[in-house]
Amino acid sequence: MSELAIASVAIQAWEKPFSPEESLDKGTAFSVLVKPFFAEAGVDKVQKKPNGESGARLLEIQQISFQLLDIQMFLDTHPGEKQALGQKVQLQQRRKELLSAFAKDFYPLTMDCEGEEGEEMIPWEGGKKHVVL
Amino acid sequence: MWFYEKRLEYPVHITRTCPKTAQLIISQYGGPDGELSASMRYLAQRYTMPDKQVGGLLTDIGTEELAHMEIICAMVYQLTKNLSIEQVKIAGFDAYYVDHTTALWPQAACALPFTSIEFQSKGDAITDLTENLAAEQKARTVYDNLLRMIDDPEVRDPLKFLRAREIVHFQRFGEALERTKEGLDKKNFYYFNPEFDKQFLTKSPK
Repeated sequence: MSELAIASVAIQAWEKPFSPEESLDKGTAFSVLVKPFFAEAGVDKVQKKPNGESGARLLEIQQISFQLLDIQMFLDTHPGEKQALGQKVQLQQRRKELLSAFAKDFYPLTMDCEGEEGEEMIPWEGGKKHVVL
Repeated sequence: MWFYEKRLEYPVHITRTCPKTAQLIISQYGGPDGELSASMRYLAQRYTMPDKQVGGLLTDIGTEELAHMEIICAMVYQLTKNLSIEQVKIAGFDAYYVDHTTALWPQAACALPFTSIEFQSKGDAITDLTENLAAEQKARTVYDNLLRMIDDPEVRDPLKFLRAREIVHFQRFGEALERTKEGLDKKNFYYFNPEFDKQFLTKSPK
């Protein structure tokens, strides 16, 4: 219901989210919130070109983590939504596995990850430069 | 409390140096509708929010805005890191270069320094959430304007992602406003300030 003299926004109903890959590409996990600008069109889509094996694995972490973030944000305004909570638990589990494997094979991304510091990609270098931090 | 995770939220791989583009998008770092301003706004407002769920949303969006600030900084950095002095002069980046070389410093495209004067933390949940709805729209318009002007697909790709997030945040702030309204008098939303006159709230804050 909309009232006079105050802003109103319709509440979003739960829907099955995109895949994590598509979510990161679209900037949202939810198809109902995809609202592109006309000037977005007309330029070739950029293929994400991760740098080697570590870059590809990092991209997967970005995709899963983004999906988790967007579903958590849905839960912030829809607390207790069962299907969203179910998705969240699965994504948390997957993210944990990916972070742990990445730390084992390359370097730790967070202080919770076990593994030795070593050759790391600096986040803002575009995945092209490895340095010892 | 915050921890750092050594990655960007969205990948940025820009191979073509372009100081002019850097000078435009730096506005989303330190400009009036930039990501730093957005983050500071939400992280300041959350303490006094009567609905704790809305306080949590402000924390999550305020945190994501920090990650967006990092994306914008990475873009500016990659656009200027291999800059020659000739490029500095012809592309109009020279004034910035004099003060900051190619380092990052939060300012608007028009060189106005970052300032908290550009956002509010007003201490009234309706007022602050309405400000946040407007803030997301203002940031979306900046991204629209950038997408009209910038042709490089490697720059446009992260800009499209950031623009899409403004729309999602708008939706969530709208839902937060609806939650907040539930605790108010439907006949007069303005009878009291839900952050200050808590005795009037019809629903106890969660």
